[in-house]
Amino acid sequence: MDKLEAITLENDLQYVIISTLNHKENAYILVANITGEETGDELEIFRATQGESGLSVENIEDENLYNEVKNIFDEKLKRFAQNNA
Amino acid sequence: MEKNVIDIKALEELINNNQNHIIELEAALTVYKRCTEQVKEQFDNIEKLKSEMATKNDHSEIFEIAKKIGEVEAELIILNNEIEKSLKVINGASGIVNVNEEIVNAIPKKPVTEEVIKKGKENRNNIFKQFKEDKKNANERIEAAIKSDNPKKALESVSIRELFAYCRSKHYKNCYRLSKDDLIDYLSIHQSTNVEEIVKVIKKLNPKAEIEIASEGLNHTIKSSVDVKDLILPAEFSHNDKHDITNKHKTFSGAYCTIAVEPMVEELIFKPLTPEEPVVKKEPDVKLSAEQQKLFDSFTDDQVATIIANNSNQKDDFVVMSMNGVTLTLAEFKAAKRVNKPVVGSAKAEGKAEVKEEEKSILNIKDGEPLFKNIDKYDDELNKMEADRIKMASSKQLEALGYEVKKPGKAAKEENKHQVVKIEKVKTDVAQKIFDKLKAGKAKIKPFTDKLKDIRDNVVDKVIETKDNVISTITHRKPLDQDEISKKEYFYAIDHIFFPIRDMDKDFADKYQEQILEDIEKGTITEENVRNINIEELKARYKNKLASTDPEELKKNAETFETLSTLQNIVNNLTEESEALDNLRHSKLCQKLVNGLDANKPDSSDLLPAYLYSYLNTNTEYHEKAKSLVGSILTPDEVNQLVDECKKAVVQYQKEQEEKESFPVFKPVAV
Repeated sequence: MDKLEAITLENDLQYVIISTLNHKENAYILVANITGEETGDELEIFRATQGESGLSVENIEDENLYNEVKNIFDEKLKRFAQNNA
Repeated sequence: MEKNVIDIKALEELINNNQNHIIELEAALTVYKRCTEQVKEQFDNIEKLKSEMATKNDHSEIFEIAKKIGEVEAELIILNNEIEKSLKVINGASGIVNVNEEIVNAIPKKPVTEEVIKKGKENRNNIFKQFKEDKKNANERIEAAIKSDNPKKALESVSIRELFAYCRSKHYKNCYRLSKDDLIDYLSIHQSTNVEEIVKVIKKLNPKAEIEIASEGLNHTIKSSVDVKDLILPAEFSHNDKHDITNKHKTFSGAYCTIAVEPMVEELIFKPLTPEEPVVKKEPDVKLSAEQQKLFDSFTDDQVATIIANNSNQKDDFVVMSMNGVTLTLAEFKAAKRVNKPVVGSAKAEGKAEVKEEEKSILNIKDGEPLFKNIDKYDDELNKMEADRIKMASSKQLEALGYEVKKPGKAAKEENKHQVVKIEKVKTDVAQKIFDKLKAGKAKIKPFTDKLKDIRDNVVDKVIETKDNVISTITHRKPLDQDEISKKEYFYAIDHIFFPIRDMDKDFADKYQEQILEDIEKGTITEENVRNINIEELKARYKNKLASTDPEELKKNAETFETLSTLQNIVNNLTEESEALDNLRHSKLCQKLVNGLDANKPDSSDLLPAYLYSYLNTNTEYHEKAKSLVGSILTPDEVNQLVDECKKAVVQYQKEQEEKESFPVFKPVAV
């Protein structure tokens, strides 16, 4: 639990990184939005890149790729829930 | 020997969470555990043997113990290789194991201590300082060799790796397929003015081309079956437009040579160059004894490649390794390598594991082998090392390491990326909430939808842009009174600001406004809570409504509102010098409506556009009220006429403004 990190984007949105994944030479992060009071039940996936200007995130444009990544994260979430039930 | 250190407990914990790779990881972990234990034992053995040796006086006994120590050391090398292999598997699981992820690594897990920063900085500096120094020294040696009286001989002592690094630093092209011998010719002819010598080298560099000297004397000419553009020319030689090969301006003495090139065939058609097949040298058949094989096996692939590369200028009988009386010559070493690593193609035929070209070490360069890839990789590898370091470090660490860390800026925005501006620990209560949701399996990942894409591409950025406008508008307002009309008017002011996004996602704009309006009504509107409005939250909140909105209707309303909200500006800018505004203000219908509204309620003429909007928009809850009030002043035809007049005036006004090179800026309406 104490490993959880929060990132704040330049658009002021704040997310908690739930999990990360290296997939097809890219890094993806599964995040929960914590900008408001609530921690959203809907989790989001971003592609994360480490560029010259630091860490940045972007949405996945390709639907197939999005679903591939989503399936892997879904599986991880499922296992997490099972292991901690 | 450096001991590898790993937190086994943490690793075991990770394995529990990652069922997919459990077998592979467990196997690696077992090997790792076993080998580390054995390494410890062997170290103890060495210590024991050393103590024993200290008590001996007899030379033969000391020699025997020394031999045993040698054997244990050889065993240690093998164990270390095993450890490295298992660590590769463990680290290779980083895609599944959270902690080793690139991204997580970029986030500082622990506060960066001065010591860590200092150590990191030192390591980085040392590696690159050493690399730069090595490269610089090698380049200086090569430079000196080229300038020497016998460059060819002087260059022979330079390793092929260094020669290629030099070529790369000089941006020489077309030389990466050359053998060491040819490469030396390529570099050493640089200063020459001897046509015969130069042609000889050009011939050697271009074995597939037919080249012969056509005329000598003042005008040197050669005939070539290959176009001069396709010829590999010696370093610092080039060809000009006249098809002349020359080293003009490139020699130390200033003396230079020019050779004209003519096509060899009468048809004046140059043959295209076919890619040269890699030369496969026939190596002598060398067999190794069991002891020699054991010694050879104690080296990793990288070590073998390094040893071969470092001794590339040695003869085959040169002894590259000697341990406990067992020796390996360069030829034996190369032969053992060939046996252990079958060449691509043949291995497949024999049913053995295929060795991919890419998997070869960057240092594994053999004479006569195409080298472009390798030399490319050499630099790439170093760049990668640097890139990896950068990836692994947080911006704070990078700054500490002397990198200039650019602040989030335009670049990221342009690429539709969002810069991470802050990384921090999550508050315990928030973390607990998330943990509970995950544990309960309640958290679901958003499905991919076009809506998500649209919002990402168009709306969110726009909203973020307009957010500041909203804030400035809100915070510049007078304190809100409880007048219902004022609230609506407030709403329109905000709507005006949200106009840029209305076309793209009107619902979204509406909801955002509604949120602000709610705050206004509650009297809780502050700069902070406007900034805190959560776009995603709003989206989720009005999700159902979003799907049921008729886009055509929204568009129609938006168009009407655009006109009217601009009119709002116009009405407020009464002092503005504008022909269009004057015409509108003094139009009969406008005067009629303004007077009528003011008569109904003082100063309500400010809300003329709002009334008109509500009158036209049958969807608003104020439609009936507006219809009855405006309808009591103007006939339906008159209303339509006025709207048309407004639209025309808006177009005209905007033209005037464009001519003035300034677009009307929204100013908050007076309450």
